Amino acid sequence: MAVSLPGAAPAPPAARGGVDGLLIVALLACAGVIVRALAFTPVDAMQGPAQKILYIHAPAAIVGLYFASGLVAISSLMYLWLKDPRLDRIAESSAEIAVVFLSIVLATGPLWGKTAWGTWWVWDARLTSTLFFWFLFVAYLVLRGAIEEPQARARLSAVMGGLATLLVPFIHLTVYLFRTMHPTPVVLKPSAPSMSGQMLSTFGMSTMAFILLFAALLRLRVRWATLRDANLERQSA
Amino acid sequence: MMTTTSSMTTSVLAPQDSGAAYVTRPGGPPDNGAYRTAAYAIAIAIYALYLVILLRRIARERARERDSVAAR
Repeated sequence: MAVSLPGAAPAPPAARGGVDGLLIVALLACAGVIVRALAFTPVDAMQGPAQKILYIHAPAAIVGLYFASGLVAISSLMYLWLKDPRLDRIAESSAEIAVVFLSIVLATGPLWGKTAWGTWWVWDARLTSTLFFWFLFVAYLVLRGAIEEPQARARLSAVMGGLATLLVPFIHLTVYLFRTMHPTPVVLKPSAPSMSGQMLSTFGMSTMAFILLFAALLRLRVRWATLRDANLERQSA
Repeated sequence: MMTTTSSMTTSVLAPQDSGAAYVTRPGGPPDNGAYRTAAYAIAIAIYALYLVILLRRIARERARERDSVAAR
C-alpha cells in the first residue's frame, strides 16, 4: 500500500518488513570500526586504553553537532520558506537522532574525563554548553509532542530548531574562547591533526561509519514519520 | 590556565589515590581499560535501543496501515 502523502516515497524495505541495505552496511561499518579501534589500534602510552573512547566520543559529537544539528537548521529554515511537510519530517527526525548521538557524547565523555582529569564532570564552557544544547533538542522534541495542529507544530519547531542550532558554532569555539579542561580539536582545526597515522585512520574510519549510521537511522526515522503522517491523514479523512 | 596547569602538576606529582583512575602500572600506560569497555558498551546499548525503538515504531505503523485498509 503506497503512502498517500504528497511527495512521499514508497515505504522502504525495512518498513515493509524486509532488510534495509543501508542500515546493514552502516552496522557492519560500525562493528568493523569498533573491532579495529579495540584490537588493531595502538594503546596511547600516556592515557592508556581509555584514550580509545575518543574513537566513539568525537565522531558522535561531529555527527550530532555538525551533521544532525546542521540538517535540523537547514531543513527548519527551508520549511519556513517552502512549507513542505517533508522538510518538517526531516528536521524532526534529525533532531531526534542528534539527541541519540549527543547522549552518547555526554555518556562517554565523563568516562574519559575520569581517567584523564580524575573527575567525571566539570562545569566548564564546552561540557556545559553541550549539555544545554542536548536539553534544547530534548525540549524541541517535547514541544513537538505538545502541539497537535500540524502546521503550527511545524512552524514553531522550525523556529526553535533553527535558533537552537545557533549554539553549535559557540560550542565549537568554547575551547578557544574560555579556559576549559576539554581538549582542543585534534582533527577539526586549521593545522595538521595531532594524532599518529594509525590512530588518525581509525578516527577517520569511525567518523565515516558514524556518518553512515546517521544516514541509515535518518532514512528509517523519516520513513516512519511519513508512515505515521499518512496513517493520521487516512484516519482523519 | 594557571589553575589548570597547577592542578594537573599536582595530580602527577602528588601520591596517587588508589581509587583514582589515573594510577599507572609500573612501566606501562594507566590500567583504565574498564572505562574504555564501559564507554563502548554504553554507546552500543544506546544505538541498539534506538534502533529497536525505530523498528518497533515502523512495525506498529505498518500494522495500523493494514488495519485501516482492512476496515475499508
